[in-house]
Amino acid sequence: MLSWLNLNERVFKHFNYLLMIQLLPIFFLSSWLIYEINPELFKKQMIYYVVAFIAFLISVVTPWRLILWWLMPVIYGFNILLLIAVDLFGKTILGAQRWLEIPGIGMTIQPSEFTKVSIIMALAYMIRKNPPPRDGYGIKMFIVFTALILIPFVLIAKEPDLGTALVLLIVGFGILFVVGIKKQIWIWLSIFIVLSAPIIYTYGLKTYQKQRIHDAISHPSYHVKQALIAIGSGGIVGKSKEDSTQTQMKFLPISSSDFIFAYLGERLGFLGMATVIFLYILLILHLFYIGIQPFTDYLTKVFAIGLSWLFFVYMGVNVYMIIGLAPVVGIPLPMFSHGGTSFIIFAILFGILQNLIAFQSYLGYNSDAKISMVK
Amino acid sequence: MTITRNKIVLWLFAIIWIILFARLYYLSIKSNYYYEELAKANTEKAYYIKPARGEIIDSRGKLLAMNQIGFSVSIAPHLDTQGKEFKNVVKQLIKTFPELDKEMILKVYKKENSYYNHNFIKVVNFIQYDKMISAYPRLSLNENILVETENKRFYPYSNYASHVIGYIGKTNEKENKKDKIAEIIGKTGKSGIESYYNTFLQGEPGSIVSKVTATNEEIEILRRIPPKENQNIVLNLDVELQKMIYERFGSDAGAVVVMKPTGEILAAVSTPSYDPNLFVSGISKKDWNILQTNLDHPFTNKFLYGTYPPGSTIKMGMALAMNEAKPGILDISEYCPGAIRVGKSGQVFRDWKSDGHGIVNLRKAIKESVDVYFYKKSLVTGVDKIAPALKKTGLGGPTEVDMYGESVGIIPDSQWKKKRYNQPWYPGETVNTSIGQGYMLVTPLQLARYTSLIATSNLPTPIFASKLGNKTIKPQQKYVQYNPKYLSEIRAGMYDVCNAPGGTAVSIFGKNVPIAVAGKTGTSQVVGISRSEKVRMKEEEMEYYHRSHAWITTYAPYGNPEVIVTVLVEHGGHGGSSAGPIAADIYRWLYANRYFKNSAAAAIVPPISNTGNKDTTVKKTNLRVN
Repeated sequence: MLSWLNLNERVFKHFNYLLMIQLLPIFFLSSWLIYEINPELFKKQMIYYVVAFIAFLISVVTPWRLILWWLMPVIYGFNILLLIAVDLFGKTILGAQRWLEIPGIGMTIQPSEFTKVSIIMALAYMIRKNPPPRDGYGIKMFIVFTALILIPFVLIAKEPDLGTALVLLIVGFGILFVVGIKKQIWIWLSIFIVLSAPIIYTYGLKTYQKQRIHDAISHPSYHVKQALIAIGSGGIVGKSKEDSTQTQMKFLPISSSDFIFAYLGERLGFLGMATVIFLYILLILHLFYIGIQPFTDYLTKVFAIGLSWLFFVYMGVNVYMIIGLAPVVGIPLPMFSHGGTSFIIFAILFGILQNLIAFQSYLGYNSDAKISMVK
Repeated sequence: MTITRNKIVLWLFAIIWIILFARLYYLSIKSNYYYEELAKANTEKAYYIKPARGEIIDSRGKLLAMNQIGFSVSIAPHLDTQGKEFKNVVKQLIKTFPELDKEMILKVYKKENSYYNHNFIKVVNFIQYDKMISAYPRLSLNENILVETENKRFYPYSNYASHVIGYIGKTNEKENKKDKIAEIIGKTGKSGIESYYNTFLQGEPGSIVSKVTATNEEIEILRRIPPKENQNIVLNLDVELQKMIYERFGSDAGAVVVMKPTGEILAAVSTPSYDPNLFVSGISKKDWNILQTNLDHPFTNKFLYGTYPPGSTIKMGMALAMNEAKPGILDISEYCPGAIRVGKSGQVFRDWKSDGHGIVNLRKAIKESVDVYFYKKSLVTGVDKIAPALKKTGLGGPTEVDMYGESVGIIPDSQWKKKRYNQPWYPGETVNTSIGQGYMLVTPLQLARYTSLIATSNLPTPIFASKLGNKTIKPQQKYVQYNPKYLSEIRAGMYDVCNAPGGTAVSIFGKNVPIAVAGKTGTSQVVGISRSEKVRMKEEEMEYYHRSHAWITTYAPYGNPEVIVTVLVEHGGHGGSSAGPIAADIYRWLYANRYFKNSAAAAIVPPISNTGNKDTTVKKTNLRVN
């Protein structure tokens, strides 16, 4: 019945079950903590899980390899249009213009969230279309890729949402680095960044952004202070729900979303935090491992490496800001913090990756199959 | 190439993760205790229970400072000040207590009302007990109104003892920094006993420690510590005596110290005074200006801080000091021609009696207050030997009384003048100093203490408090060695002042008082007396603020001193005429109120030995005319 979706045994055979199993303990811990903080939020989170699961299934069966040649420019272009729309008619919340109101239903969306998908997709398609030479891409291709990354970056940074913008920048160039760019380009780029950093800091940043950077280094904000207290008071094994006063008595702000890691620390202590970080490390390394397999085609490679970088940067930035080592930016702990959009986007990315892995060696499925023999 | 790139990425991951783990380890394991304490501090909030301030009681059990019981009114938090509920509350309050200020209530409420405040907001600090009693049933029905009992410091004897008791007021920033408890209570002693014994009187606050959320909502009470309170102080003061003296002064300015030879202060008056109740809840600008501009300085504690030249009251101490400077000098009588000339310029120093006193011995020198006797002797000893000896009588130093803000006065010598004015000392100044004029300054309290020394050979530490809670304070005295021969002659001279014909205060004391009083009058010049005048101007003819201050310092009974009375009347002219009658009234009152142990014996005068005068050589010194 589903034959038009090509859901045959090959799909189930190549499906990466381990990757999915690895996510389960993360989901379990996350929903348990959210339930403890607020059962109402837990209910909402369960709805997100259901929606995300459906989105994941759709992504798995979507014939990405067949439609990418026209979908990629559409998605990327549409995303850029949305970001421009945010700039023009966006809704301002707490001084940042990041949201678009969908007329009629009163729902708001944050287009910068979708940019994760569009950038990875754009890079994947472009890299696959123009595989890198042996010693990496030259300056011409590098400029093309950079443009693909920098256009959404500038639009998002302007909102201002420097946190998300920088995450995309790191992920984008992270993928390029692994795929391969000529060494000289990186050297010149490094020199350029080092020289221009002071100028960007002086003229490019807004006062509150500088303040945040400054605070992260010298005196933490109220949020971070409370987060440090929560983590610090957790000890090795954490405290019971009743004794987790930082969260239960609401000293810890936004404890279910961006700061959930602090509640994890308070509730389950060092061991709990170490376990979760370890789970992330395994996931990141697994994705990275998939990405660097020889004979992996560039679509799979870029999506695996991209997801690996995404998890690395999201987890790193989120935990660093909670433990007072980075400025506070609105970056959630990936697939752990309470919240719908981010979770569903990750689910879609996993779905795409699974699809690509499953149909990697299914030649008939690849419309313009060009198996790369480049190691 | 690829391998290296992947390695670089993996190394980057590793570094970031190692830092992360190190930081987590440091936070949750190494700093666990520190953050645990912070988490606990977050959830606990202490509310203080203010202690009831100790009361101040006089020696006969009368309350001098008490806590009036009344009520405060608070309004529920988080009401909309524009809303009907809040308006109804204010309307009801104004209707019940028409004297309340609507704007003030609104102002206080708006200031205190915030998201984090879950307590009722106190809008009226104090309402009298009897006023509230009838209104309470109706007010208590309104759930937005909270009526609580409240204390207010009250001084029933208002003006009579304000310089002794002092008053309390809102703490300022400096006091908050110095005393954490005072900061919690919000009020502290500002002067007098209230200030000196503030730590004892205020007690220690208790506390209620409760568990709260981030928005300050109370969840449960963890522990309760009761305050340390009601620490009362009993004074040696007799407020009825204090009141009698204050009223006796009428509109005159001055100071009185009535003290036992042990140092226990029975009365200490400084007039004019002020009502300390004005300060308790903040004095109004109008009242402040009236008090502040009064030329008689009602705020100045004249018995403690006021310094005046002692005039002739210094003569007893001066004689003792001269003998110490040159032993045996008191055995020499002096001839008083009515004036002497001093120094190369031949400056004339007159006696108060222009035709002189003839031949004068020590007893007569005190009795008739013979200036020339001291002029001549001072020129022999010099000021630099007199000053240190005089300081032994307690003058020029702190009395160490239990009250802040005392002046130490000045006992001048050449060194002092060099330091202060960078000028040499002139012999004429020695002469002036010898009769307590010029630079010399003393406070009434110092003079009372000094009188006690003359009367008993003991120098007491004046003390107001007799009991702190259950603890009795033992008065302290210091024995000072003097030749008893001269002491008894001086005492006899003081007796003569009040009792013998020719004494400077005999008309006031003598048979007019029921006990044998010994004393010494003094006149301290406010404006220097012109040398060109042949006869001193009569005090009564001077402008009021140019008139001299009048002193009398006395003790009684003569044979067995039980009370010291020192009186200063500012611009009172001669000591005998204005200060004397006040002292006499004090003795009559003390006698009537059974202050003398053996009233019958008190009037009997023991025989006075006159041996010291028998072999006195008379040394005639003529006026030196250059």
